[in-house]
Amino acid sequence: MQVTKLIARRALLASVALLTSGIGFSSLTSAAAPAIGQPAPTFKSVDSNGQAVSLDQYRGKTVVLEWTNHECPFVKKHYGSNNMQTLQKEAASQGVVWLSIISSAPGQQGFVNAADANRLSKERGAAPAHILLDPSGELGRLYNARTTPHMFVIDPAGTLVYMGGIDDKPTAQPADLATAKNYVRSALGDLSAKRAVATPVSQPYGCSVKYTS
Amino acid sequence: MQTMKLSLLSGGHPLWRGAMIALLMACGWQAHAADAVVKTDNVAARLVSEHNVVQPGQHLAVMLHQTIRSGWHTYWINPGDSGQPTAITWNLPAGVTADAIQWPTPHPVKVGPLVNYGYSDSVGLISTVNVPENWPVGTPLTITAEATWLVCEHECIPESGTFTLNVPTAASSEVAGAEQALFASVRAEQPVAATFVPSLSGDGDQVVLQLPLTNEVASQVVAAQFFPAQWGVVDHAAPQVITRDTSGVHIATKKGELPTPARFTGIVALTEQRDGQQIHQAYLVSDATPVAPAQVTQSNTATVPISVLMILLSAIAGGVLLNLMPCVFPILAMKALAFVTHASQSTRHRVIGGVAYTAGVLLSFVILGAVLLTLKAGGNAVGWGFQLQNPILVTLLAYVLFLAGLNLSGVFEVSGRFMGMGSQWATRSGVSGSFFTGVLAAVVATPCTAPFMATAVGVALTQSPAVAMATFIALGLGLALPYLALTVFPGLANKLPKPGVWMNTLKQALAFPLYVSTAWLVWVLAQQSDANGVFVALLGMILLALAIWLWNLPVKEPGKPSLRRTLQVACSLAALGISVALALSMQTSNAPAATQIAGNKEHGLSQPFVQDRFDAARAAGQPVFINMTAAWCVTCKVNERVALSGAAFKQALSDGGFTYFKGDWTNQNPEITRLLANFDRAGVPLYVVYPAQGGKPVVLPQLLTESLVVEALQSASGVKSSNPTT
Repeated sequence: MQVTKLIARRALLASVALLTSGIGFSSLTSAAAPAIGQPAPTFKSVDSNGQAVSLDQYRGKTVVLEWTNHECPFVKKHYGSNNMQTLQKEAASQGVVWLSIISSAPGQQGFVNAADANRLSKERGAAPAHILLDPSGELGRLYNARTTPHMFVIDPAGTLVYMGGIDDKPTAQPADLATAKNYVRSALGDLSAKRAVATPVSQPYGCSVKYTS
Repeated sequence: MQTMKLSLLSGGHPLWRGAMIALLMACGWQAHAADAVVKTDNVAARLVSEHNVVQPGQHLAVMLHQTIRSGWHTYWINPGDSGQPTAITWNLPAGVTADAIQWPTPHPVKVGPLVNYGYSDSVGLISTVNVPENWPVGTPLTITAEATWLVCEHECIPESGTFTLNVPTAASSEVAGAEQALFASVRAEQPVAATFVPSLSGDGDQVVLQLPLTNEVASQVVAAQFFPAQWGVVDHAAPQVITRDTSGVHIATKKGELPTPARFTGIVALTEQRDGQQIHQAYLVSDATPVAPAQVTQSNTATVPISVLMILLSAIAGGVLLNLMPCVFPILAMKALAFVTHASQSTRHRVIGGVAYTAGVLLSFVILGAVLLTLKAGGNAVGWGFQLQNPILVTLLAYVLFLAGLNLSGVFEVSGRFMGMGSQWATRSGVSGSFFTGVLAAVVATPCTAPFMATAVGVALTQSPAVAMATFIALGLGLALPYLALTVFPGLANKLPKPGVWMNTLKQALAFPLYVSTAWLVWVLAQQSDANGVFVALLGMILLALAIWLWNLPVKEPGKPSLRRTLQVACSLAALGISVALALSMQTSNAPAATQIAGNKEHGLSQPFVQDRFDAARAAGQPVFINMTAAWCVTCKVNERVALSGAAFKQALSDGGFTYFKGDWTNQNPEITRLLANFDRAGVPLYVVYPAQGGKPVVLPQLLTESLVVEALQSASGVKSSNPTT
């Protein structure tokens, strides 16, 4: 009797909550937030060299998405220490496609034009396969990217296998890199060893993505 | 007069810092409190002591106070969608410790489409610094704090500061009068400890926090916001919707990116409409029972859970039912029959006996409840039935039931000199006899309570310790009630049949249910231990029989001491001692019971429940069926035989592409205990169907039929069986 009461209560509560919140959630659920184990949302974009890039063209390859903003202290932590560039080069040597994405809106911190984006890459010794410019924030919102950095790993079948932080030390202090566990590196390791990704979700940390508000 | 010396070494060039120190020292270190401010671009921060003078043994409140540039904010322990919480690293003299930050209630900060949890304008972060009792009076206490914080408007700047307080010590402490208003205003921003225990549950892509509030309080709540202290529990940017029903207030919102945890802490900010005005009050909440509610000042009307009466009533009913269980019934029947033989007894004697019996039952349940609550408070993942998760206890229970059976069979009669708890029930009518019969009834009832009482006790355990204890007492009261009624209303006893030879026959017959219960406990033991464990337990019971036989060997001159009698008694006691020692030596087998059970004629149908694998299956969008079971759970075994082994069940599983996890709770398993707690359960069985693509889980009843399970599986997968087999 206790059990049925509990179930009934749950059911009633859930339906009430759904009814009353239908309007509030519809916009969010229709955005189909990316989910682990699900096909990663596909997109078409243009890179900093004017070349068209779509996620579909990389079917068969592992893809890393990195949201970035060169003026954010958390991004600086990983570029100033060469941590991010090292990982990009490691990935490239394994045939992984690395896409750096800038979703800062015009006038906001981190917004750059194509030439500046390429110059920054060169200056910092960064090695992404492409830099995607997303000033409208469309791509960022598609992936619900919230921080810089915010990392996503997509397996060769196009399935999202990792989303979250670059590592497990959510600070802006470069000293913490020494003891940090890099989730992207271990996800790529798991993929190449044909294992399930050990940590598929973690807390993304950093500055907020500077969307148009 | 300057009683406290403060200094600061703010961030900056090391040379500059060095120069500052040199300067300060040259000036005789006479910095004033007002100078001890670290000024960065966006924050002015200082470290403040609540006392000018501290005394040994004091718990000193120390505050990091930030004045934040207008439009900018710093972060709470869970920063929300981005950001980083303020952190303090303490550098303290040996023996001095600092507790965690007492975070004030944050507020949501909207940044474009994102939401952060943080503080604007100003915030005070109080920590308690514990000074040891043996701190030498007169030696100043030097407290150094290195703080780092991230401050953001649209852009984010990581900042830091190093703060040092030098506080004189004396035999008695002295409050810093100038800072009292500041401490008071900061404490007003802190949440108060909630005296209610909310429950958090995930439902598909929703997460719901249920606050057990009275109808009266619930109707006054006009707004509520839940701030989980962990990242990933809720979608921080999603709206939170409140609903009310008889069980309290529910806050529903979109689930975060991690599976809903069983353990959580956080803050619930409520706005209550009372007497025409709005009252804001934030509560510190967690899944665990609250600590002493001493510091709760207002709104403690908000704390009485409404369903307590329901829980207690159902516990009493459950206790009454226990009298019919095969473990308890024989003992109760014999006790009742004792009336017939002692029909001449006065009513007063009877009532005293009944009360003593009740006291024995209640005391046993109180002890059992106290052990369970203590274990739980100690952070152990235990639930009802825990007493059967320990092979030593299972063995001892088997001994007790076996002895009770032997007694009913007439193998031994207990006379006054035979010690043994409560075995005198049939022959002695004294107060202590009745009391120990109560204890015995409670002890033999425990193996039966586990499967049958799991739900009622499970609900009770999610309440406060007081309610949980009341439930145990109610359960015991129910168990004692029929016998108590018999003693109080002599009319009932008079309706019992007249004594005769039939009584002896019945007594002998009643021994057999006890043997069956004994055999069942040995089987339970076989799941927890191994073949050796079963052998040891059986050996122990043979030794018990030997001890009784030795004791009862005929003596030439009864009552007269003799060497032979002494030897007899010594051997008998030795046999008893070895038997108990064998029980105490019982160990849990290394091989987890899970693999034994799961591998049991299942042909790979199910796999053992492992949280990671379960999360992975759910994350991959697979439909999942969960069966939480235990070897000692009779209900579980019946369900598995009747509903979870047939062809139709297997067909429905494979048609729907279900992953079938079987959790074995025969021995303790924290992962299973956590999942049970997610569904307000403290015991098995539990059956849950999780639809594909992260849909809302459906809990099945505790008594299953195959068609019920198949229907639930089909509706969850949306697949109708192609070739129905039933």
